[in-house]
Amino acid sequence: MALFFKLLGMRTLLINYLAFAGIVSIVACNKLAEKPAGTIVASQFYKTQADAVAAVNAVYTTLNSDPAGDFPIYGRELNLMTDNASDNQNFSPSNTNPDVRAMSTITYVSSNGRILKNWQQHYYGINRADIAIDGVTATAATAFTTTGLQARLVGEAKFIRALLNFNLVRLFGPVPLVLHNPKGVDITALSVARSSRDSVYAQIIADLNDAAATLPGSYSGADVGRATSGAAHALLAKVYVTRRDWPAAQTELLKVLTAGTFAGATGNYGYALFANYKDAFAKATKNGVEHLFSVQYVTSGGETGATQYLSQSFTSFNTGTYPIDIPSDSSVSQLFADTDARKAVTFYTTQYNAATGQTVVFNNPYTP
Amino acid sequence: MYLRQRYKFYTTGFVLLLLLGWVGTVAQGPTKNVALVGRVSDEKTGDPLPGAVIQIKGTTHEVAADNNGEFRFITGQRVPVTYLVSYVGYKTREIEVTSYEHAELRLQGANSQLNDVVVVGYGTQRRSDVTGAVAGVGKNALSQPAVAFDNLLQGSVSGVAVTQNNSQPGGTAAIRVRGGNSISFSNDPLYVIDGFIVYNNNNFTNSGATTGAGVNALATINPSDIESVEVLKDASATAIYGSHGANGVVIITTRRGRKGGDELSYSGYYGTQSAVKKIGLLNAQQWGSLVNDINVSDGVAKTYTDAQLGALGKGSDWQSAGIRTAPVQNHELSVSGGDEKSKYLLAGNTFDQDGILYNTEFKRYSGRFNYERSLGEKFRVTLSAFDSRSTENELTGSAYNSVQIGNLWSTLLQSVPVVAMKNADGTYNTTNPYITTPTNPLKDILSITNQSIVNRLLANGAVEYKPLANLTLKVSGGVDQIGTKQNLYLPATTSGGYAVSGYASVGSVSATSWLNENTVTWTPVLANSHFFNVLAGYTTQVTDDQSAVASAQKFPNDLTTYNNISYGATPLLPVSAAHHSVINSYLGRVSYSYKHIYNVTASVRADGASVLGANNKWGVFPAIGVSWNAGQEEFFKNLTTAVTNLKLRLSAGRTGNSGVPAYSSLAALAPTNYYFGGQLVTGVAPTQIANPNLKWETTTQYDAGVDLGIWGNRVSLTADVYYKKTTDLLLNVPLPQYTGYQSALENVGSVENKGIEWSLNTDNIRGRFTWKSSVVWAANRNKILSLGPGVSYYYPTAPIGQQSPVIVQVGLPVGTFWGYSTRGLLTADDIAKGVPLLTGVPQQVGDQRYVALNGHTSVTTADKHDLGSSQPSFTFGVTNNFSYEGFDLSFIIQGSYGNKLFNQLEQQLEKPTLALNASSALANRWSASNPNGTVPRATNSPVPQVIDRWIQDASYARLKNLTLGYSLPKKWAGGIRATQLRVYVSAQNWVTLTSYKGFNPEANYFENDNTKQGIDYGIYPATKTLLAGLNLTF
Repeated sequence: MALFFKLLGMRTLLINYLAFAGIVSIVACNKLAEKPAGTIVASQFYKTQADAVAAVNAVYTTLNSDPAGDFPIYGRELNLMTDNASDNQNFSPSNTNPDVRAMSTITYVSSNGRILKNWQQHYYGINRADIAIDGVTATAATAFTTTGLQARLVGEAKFIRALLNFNLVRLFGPVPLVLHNPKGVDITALSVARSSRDSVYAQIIADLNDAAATLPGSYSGADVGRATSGAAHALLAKVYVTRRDWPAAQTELLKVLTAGTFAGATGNYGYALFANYKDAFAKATKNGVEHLFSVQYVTSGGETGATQYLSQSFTSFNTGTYPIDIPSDSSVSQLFADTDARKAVTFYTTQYNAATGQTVVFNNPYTP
Repeated sequence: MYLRQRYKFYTTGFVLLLLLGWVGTVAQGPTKNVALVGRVSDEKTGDPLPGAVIQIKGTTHEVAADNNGEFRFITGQRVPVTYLVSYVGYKTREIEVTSYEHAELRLQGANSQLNDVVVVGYGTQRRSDVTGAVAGVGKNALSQPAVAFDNLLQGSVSGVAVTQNNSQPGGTAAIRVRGGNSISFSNDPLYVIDGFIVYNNNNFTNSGATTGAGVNALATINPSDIESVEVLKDASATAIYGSHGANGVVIITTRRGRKGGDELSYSGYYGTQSAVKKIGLLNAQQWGSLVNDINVSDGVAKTYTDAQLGALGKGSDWQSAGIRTAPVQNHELSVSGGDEKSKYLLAGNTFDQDGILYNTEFKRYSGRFNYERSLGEKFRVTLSAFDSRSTENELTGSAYNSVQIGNLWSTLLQSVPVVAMKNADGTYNTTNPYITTPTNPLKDILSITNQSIVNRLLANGAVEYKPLANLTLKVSGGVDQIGTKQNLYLPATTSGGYAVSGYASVGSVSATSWLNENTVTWTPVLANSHFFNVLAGYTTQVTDDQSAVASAQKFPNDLTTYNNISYGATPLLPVSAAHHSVINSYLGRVSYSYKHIYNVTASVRADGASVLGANNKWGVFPAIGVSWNAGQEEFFKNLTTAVTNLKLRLSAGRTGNSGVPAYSSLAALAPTNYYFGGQLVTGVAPTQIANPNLKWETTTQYDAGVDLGIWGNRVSLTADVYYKKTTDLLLNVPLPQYTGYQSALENVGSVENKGIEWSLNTDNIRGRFTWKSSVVWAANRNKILSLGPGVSYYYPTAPIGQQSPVIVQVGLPVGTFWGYSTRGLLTADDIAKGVPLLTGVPQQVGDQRYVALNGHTSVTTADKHDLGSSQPSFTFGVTNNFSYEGFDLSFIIQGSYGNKLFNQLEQQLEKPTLALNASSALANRWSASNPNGTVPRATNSPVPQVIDRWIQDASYARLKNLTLGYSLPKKWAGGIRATQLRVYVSAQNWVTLTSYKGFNPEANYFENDNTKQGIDYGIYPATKTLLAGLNLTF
């Protein structure tokens, strides 16, 4: 190299280069550290009361929407697994999804997309609950200006975690019990073995007891729709019934039933049956006296990915097209006596089309 | 003392230049200018060589010879000076002149192209010294009419596979240089336009407000501005681009002014386009009969009596009604010129292509200003500026990200033929019992606005300082700004807008990328036999984008459409986003050549990318290449005279890919929504797990090549073999679902690509009649080696209600089709013998017979297997060029072999239903009365499985371009004072040979999604064009 430097004049080169490098260092001030302006990162969050509320709201979201725009758990997904695989309900002739058809024909395999989606959505919700429970618990108590809010928020998340784990253990038996957000992406560290049914139930019961102890009996105004202690007691009762733990179930149920309506009932939640059966499903009476806990939907409310496909079983007033799921056959409706108030509300062959003002009669040969 | 003064002078000059720009000129001492004149001619014939470049050695002074070969310098230089004279196809000569008299400079026709200068990363190299695989794009390919220049690469460079994703005007293409390295992220090559790094990011032209296929960001750049294109393929050539180089580099140089007079030129063409083909669909009577058969299979009464069937006739041909012949036109005007100090080019272009589907169009207005000027003898400034405004009216589609699939075109094809298209009074018939809304798909196409408007500014400037003849310091700065506005309006009278009483969405993206590059190039020569080219540099690039989408529904009327969404009674949640990313790089390269015979190039680049994890921002990418011009060895010259050039090349190196979106390594939280008390509330939750170790995806590439020229390079061959292994893939690794996350972005797994490619150029006939040919051929084999621990395969997300037709599996190419083999239809005999049947559906005579593997007794998803992939066995291109007197004729044939497509459109069309039209193949369905039918019997909406029938061979050979031109003799052209006047007619895509049954053997519904290549579902149909054009130069 010396030869070349000599040839050119080493100092010239060196000094030119230094001058050049000096200029470069002036412009080279772009930092590589990321500071996203349009995205919140975890280290910035879980600091305030508003953060805690938003973290828990995100847990509820998993009940009525799917991140990929698929049917939400309480929008058809769970119904597909429990009812299409039963004698009640079947895929419609125009439904060509092989996974959905396999549910009805009881030929599903573990890779069935609908089963996978149910599994995925439940754990998606459990993960959101885990994060909220840990995040809200870790938030300084001084950050909360509303008394009792911190405990209530944790209670809400625990209620939903229990609900989802309860669904899972009933559908799949022993399942992985996941209580915290993964700390990293290492797949070995992420692996969790299945827990026994008993351990899963123990966690469900613990979560529901915590929820029942911290949740209020009711909400007003902009909080209506959140989990209540009545809902926690009722769900706990259902868990005990499932476990055939009759005394414990009775204890819980007596807390739910309104005092005076049943022997030994101590509840003061004001629960009762609707006088009109149809009101249990009507929009005007939502979050009413008969509802312990409802997943919330609003028509064109703006939420993305939140579509309730159960009522969309009627996709149109076009008699040539079919609902996405249909009753298995007419024997389902025949289970109900004509005098049964539930029959007329549940099964119908005509519907009023508000857009045209006409009543459409579904006399399609394909309708059972 | 002398040295000291010199260094002061140089550094002062350079710093001043940087700080004050033009003021740098004051550092130059005033000298009185003199004229140096001469002429450049062919040594043998004495013909002038217009455009030959004459440089005064040791300065930045250069001029080009005018049409008579004459040149003239006005300069402060004094004789003796040494001219460096170069001209394409001739040996570059150094000629010393000692007087101011007119000098005759004669060049010798080069019998080897070794002296050519090749554009490489951050500079140029003599072709003789190149150690990497670098291929140029021929003039014929570049002169084809095209909306975007990526189309011009198709069939013109070996190892570059271009697939037009759809035929929508301004639509996107998938470009792969030597196969795809990445599984989850971009496999697009890097584009370097006039030294400025341009990422082809189609996200910048898509805010999410519109629907359907995307806008090709490259279509915003005028392809006729391009002077030359070089493609860097192996690591020795691309590693200088380090992090961006893994997918190959396409270096584009735009037209410059030439020295020696001003030139005004116009070029333009006008043509018409039409559909290449239509597919077979059932007519009304055939469809009615199908419906009856479905009724029979369902055990209900037939819908049509025989008399009614007979009366149905042909019915409506929705397909034909949706297609038109459409015009395409392009006009451009340019003024260019230069003198010994400056060169300039000013060009304007207007391009307008209507699509063959109604209400689709691509329109572009663009302007370019290229300028360069020498300031004194040691400084040179260059500027390249381009601005365009493109408007694309797109075919309306569904938002296809895993939710729905299809678009208005596939809807039209599936429209039932028994329904009339129009009423007796000429209005559109909206009484269609087979669709859920009172609308008409033809009317939908005409009345929906689905539009993207893209403004693009691409400008860069550079200052070069040459303190010594062999030392260049260069500082450049540039900016690429993309401003996109998108408009969507679905009137209440359309199927999409009916339920919501009209829907409007507007979106915008504003993206800016700026780049600063600082390089030093030192080219010392020792003893006239040791040639060095040393490059060092630092670059920094910042990319920012901001986007927003706002939507509303429930419009009182259609008067304001998307222009004022506040008329919508129901606003939807607006969204906005912002990203910021930085790449800082240090680069260095040393090329050494001994007598232009033994060459070695070593390069290294260190890149730091903000988008990667905090622990692994930086990556180092080294490469080395050697080459030996064996043909220049004396012993070889004694051996044979037939071989004029023989060069052997070897290279190895690493390149990287950091093509992940910003913030991918962070624990990002996203907003979600829920309702309490009937009111919308916001929730916040994580969407990804933090991965601070996220690092570079690295591709290691080995290349061996040979360049051979025989008989005075009348035949020249370049052949390469290569092996690439990409490790630490940036892969969305599927996680156990119980983590609450579907996947995490990690560096796991590896993919290999290996291949052979060659190109052959022959000069078949010389003389008054000339014939030149060029053939390119390339074969690449892609294979997944690993997907990380515990993962041997996964299925990419399929649209809801469908099963993934592709699998990503170790040992197979990325995106292999996965489904059942079939063996005709089930016969009574089969059933009696108890052949395996598909589980989950009752199967009977006349149904598809699926093949069970490995002796299975029934057919389940375990019997799905590899049905081939969309990756071709080989691709090729053949270009021929003839000329006689003023006539020129050229054609380009291009194609690929062995690639498959999943013809999903046909799969859906062969599904018998009571509400959609079907393929004409169903006319030959099995039935009791047609026991020899080849497609399964009619049942009501059977499950469409992925079977071998739909995975179709999409090999093709296409006459991509055929052009016949005539240049008027000078005496005629001169009559209107023109120096050139050429008229031509050209046919594009006129002939396509293929056995593929869909519209076009080039199809990618999912565009550039690597794992879902080759899915054809109702994409914009293929077009062919016939056009006539004129080139005129004054």
